[in-house]
Amino acid sequence: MQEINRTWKKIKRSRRLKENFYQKAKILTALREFFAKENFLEIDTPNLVSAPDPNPFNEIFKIEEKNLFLAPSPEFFIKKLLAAGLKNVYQITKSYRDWQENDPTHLNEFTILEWYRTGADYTELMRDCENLVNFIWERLSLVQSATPRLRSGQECKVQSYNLKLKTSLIYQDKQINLAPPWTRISCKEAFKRYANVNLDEFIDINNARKVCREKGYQVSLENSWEELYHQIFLNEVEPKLPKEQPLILYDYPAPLAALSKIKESNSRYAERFEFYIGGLELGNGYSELTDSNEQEKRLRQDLEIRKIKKMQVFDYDHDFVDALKEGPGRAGMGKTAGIAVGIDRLVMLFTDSSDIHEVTPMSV
Amino acid sequence: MFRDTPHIVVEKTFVSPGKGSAFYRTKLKNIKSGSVLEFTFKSGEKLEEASVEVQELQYLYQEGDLLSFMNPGTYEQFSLPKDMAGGLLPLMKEGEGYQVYVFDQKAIAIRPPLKVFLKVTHSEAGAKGNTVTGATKEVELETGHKVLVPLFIKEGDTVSVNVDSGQYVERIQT
Repeated sequence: MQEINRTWKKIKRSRRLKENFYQKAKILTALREFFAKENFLEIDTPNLVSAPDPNPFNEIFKIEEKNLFLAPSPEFFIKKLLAAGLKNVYQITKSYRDWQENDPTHLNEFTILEWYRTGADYTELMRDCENLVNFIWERLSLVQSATPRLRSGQECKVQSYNLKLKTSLIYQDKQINLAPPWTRISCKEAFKRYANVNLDEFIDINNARKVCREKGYQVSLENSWEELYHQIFLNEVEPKLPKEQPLILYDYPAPLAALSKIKESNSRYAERFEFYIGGLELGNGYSELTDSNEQEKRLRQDLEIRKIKKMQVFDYDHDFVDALKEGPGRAGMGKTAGIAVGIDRLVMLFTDSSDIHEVTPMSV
Repeated sequence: MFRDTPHIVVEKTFVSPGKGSAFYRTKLKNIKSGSVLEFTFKSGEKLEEASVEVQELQYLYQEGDLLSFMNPGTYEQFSLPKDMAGGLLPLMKEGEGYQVYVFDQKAIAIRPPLKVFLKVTHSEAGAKGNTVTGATKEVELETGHKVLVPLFIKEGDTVSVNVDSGQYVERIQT
């Protein structure tokens, strides 16, 4: 606690840490401007919840005496509001995940942006991501370079000049061209290209074990399919993903579907994507799973994994499953695509910070 | 031991990419060659611990490209290519003790201290200093290494130097 109490002094001494607060505020203003332009509704959902997302991706903070949890994401409540009939919504909020380890890109308490486009699929979200990031960067570039030169009659000229100049930014000494379209690569293509693995076959756990053994990795029968997948992904694929442009990695294997819809054309893959800029994993989007039976099945599976991993176990959100079943139309929630973006990481990108604590210096 | 060669873990970060699966992204330094590679381990993977021991050895002298060391207890002598000392080399003092990794009876690397303490042997009297960088001047240390220090440092003072950066840290009161 001693260290935490002294952070204001660190901020007092550091111009850079202070400047990051201003950049973050500009980014949030630009975000809201973007969604207003797109006719999206800003909503607010609770952070104290009785049945959080049980995804065993992370542990959850519990307030024992009240039997309540700090929500790891606003997703379930936003979907309930979509089921209630709201359309095209977004939320910027704090979320809480207990990582149990310290590292430069995760915080236990972080700022998350989620938006849900009604009637859309994940390809439309990919374009939203391109437009949003470029919109923010335009706004930041204008504020930075045009302000000191604002003189009568000069304004328009200066602004259009800067717009043309500034589609690339420098992050950690590397130049990144933000201009759309970004590189899109499917998980299947990425595994083939960088690890010489056929993901269609790898999806079978016996084949996955064989491939990993042949590659010289340690494989035991206790290793889950996901562990084998990630061992190859983290060692052979992710380090080689191109970084000179933002990258969209899409069509995740079905076991990693999370809350996304399985592809109708190929049930081995799900309509899920993540986007990376400068090696930072910034967002995770889906064509949303709207089938309430499948959703209920996945919630139960997640809780099973939690038991095996000796993580906290709780009852899942039945109200959420009901919402998917019933509304707003006869067919349930209806076609929707939604995505979560880590705002602190986005601020890292735009402030050229290598550690998330540089943009949230007071965080635990 | 990683791929049959002793490595030191120089960096470790935790990654949790999926449903409860945990990984450690590491940077491993090959003790013999000094090269660094990245590898991501599944949590729970087992590795054989390399039978590398650390001995406190006395640095004797440099001859050509080799550094000579001696174990002051057993008088056993060791030599090490000077490249393996890296940034520590210009800060090494004859007669001083250093921690050295020994594997198969051979010295393979030095475990560098965070900082070293060295005496200032030469300082221009009345140097005005470079005020652009905040009033500093260059002095020579007893090993011949030159560093930028604040103006108040005098000949005969002992200063500490960061081994990683080779830069001045503070004056040591003796």
